[in-house]
Amino acid sequence: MLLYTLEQAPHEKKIIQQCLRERLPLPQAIQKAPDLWIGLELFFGAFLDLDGDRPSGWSMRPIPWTSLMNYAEAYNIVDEQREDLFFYVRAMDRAYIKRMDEKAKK
Amino acid sequence: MGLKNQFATDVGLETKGIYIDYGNDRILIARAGGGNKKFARLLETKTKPFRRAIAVGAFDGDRSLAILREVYAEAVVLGWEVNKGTDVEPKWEKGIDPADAGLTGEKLLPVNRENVLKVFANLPDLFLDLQQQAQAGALFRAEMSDASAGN
Repeated sequence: MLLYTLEQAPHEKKIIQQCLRERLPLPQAIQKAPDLWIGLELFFGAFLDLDGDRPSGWSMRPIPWTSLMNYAEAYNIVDEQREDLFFYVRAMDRAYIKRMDEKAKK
Repeated sequence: MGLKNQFATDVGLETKGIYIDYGNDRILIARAGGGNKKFARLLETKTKPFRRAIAVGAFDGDRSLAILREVYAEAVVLGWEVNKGTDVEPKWEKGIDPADAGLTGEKLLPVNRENVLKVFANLPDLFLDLQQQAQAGALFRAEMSDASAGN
């Protein structure tokens, strides 16, 4: 979902319009676009909110622990939900950094 | 006009809410999403027990609708008022018309989770409309409310 949102989603509307105009089938990536499961908006939104909080440097660095903790405090995300916040955001962060590193190497 | 002006929403409006006017009733709603993190928190809590079912596509629409109605009743509907005056001189009173909840009586019902859920069950189209309004980012832009206020 995250990788689709970052890479495909910004161009999706234009691609769909172009396919409709030229009567072409939609690309597989759009036909099989993932859905965000109901209830996971909290973690997905957190990742998007915190993406700009990375320390600057030569390589892409992970979202800091303090940013996640401040976010949880600010929005009263506690207990098990806070653990899940760390789990999901870190999983998205790893996938995002891996993809960006792969792109940079090309 | 920059993109920020076109798309940025006012977090204050998203959490403090805006009135949706239905003529004789007006409902104060927060945004379903965006800066209203209570909505996302509650939705996550209520859907977590079903995540396995969601993953395998076995989460049915009725259950999803029931959860959404609960979350809206708790985190989106902030107030409900009925006009006891006239169209020219409205006199808004806090409460829910019992008829809207499928009940009889004259006295307005208190605005609470149970009564809001009764209205959602009795008037499913109202719930659908509120859902659309609460998800419409445009309604929660500061510029929109300023413009409306000046109109």
